[in-house]
Amino acid sequence: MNPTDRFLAAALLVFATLCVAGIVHIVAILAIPRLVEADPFARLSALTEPGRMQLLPRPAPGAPLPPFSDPAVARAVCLFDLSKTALRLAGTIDADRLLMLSFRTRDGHVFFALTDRAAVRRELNILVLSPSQLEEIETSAGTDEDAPQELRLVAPAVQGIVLVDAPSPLPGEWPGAEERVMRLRCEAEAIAVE
Amino acid sequence: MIWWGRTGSRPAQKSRLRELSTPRQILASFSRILAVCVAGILLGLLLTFLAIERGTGIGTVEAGPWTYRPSIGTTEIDPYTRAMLARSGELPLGAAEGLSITARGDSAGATFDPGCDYVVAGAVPRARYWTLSVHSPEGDLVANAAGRYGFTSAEILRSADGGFEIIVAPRARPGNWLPNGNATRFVLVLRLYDTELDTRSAPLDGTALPRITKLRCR
Repeated sequence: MNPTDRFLAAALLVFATLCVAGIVHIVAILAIPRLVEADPFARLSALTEPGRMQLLPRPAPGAPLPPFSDPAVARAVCLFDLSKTALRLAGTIDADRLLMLSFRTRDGHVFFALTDRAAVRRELNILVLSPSQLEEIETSAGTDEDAPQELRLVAPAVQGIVLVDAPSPLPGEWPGAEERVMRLRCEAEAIAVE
Repeated sequence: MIWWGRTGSRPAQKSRLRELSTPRQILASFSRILAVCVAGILLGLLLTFLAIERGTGIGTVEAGPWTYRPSIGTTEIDPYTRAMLARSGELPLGAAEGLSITARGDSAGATFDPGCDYVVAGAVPRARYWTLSVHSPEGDLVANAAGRYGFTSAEILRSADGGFEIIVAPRARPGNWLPNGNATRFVLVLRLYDTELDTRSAPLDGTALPRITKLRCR
């Protein structure tokens, strides 16, 4: 084999190795979310059940919380399972006090988020639904005047997570921040789906 | 290598085909394919590990010493960020809630040394509320005797011109002291809540974020 042949043979081997590496890398990146043993929904299910607002422990070293939790933000969680019921989040919030709500799939990805600025006259009223539940509500609803002032949110998956966050700007304000996140009601709401 | 040989006459090709079919040639070819597969798998897994564990690379934007992932709190989340979140179990801020940015080193480009003191100073982008906290690279809060894990925009001591300095150090320092305890490795996380920044259309500039300067080392 002459030098040119050797070079081309080596180049072919390197190219083939890089092709295999690229394929393995892409497959691994796409497969990791499916291979995780316990997603956030499963981890939080150890603390609470769907349709109930649950205050999470205050962040501290070793606390059983998701990584990178903010030590200056109180957090409550409400899981939802739309296979049988919808989920209603409602309550009165403080004026000009930051409050954040994020609606997530069971693997923690945000599909909708809002802050207290979205409240109407300090009231939040959100109904989380599956597409079939929304269809049922819309077909059985009367006139528009009868419709309640609520935000209807169609979840992309049957199960998911709602997080309610309130900052505690000063250490002494932590109890108030916890009270603000727990003031929102989170409850399952039956919707008859034919 | 047989298949890279120059095209020869028919008798020569037959002769080479005979060469290829010998057990030694078959074994050599099989060995090369096996080596390519093993090396490719190892390289692919190494690339995946670096992309996921180091928190840098595809899907990450750098702004001075700070990094962030623009798609992390959106429905258009990229596959690398999705894999990183699945691996860590982190529940990131939604885009409408704010932005979380991380520093793994100082403004000079050096990784944080737990034996050194650092000062964080400068501008913070407009936000309704911000916090700065110390975490391990895995996301745990860093234990320390003072029980302080971060600062908020409301509690920070400011100079007369409205500026601030936060000293990250294992031992007590005057002013805004943020202890990093006995951590062997740490990162700083700056969270901007209810900010008007839209990092997907206008990437953050490093000058818009606090500088991180190494002070002294023991």
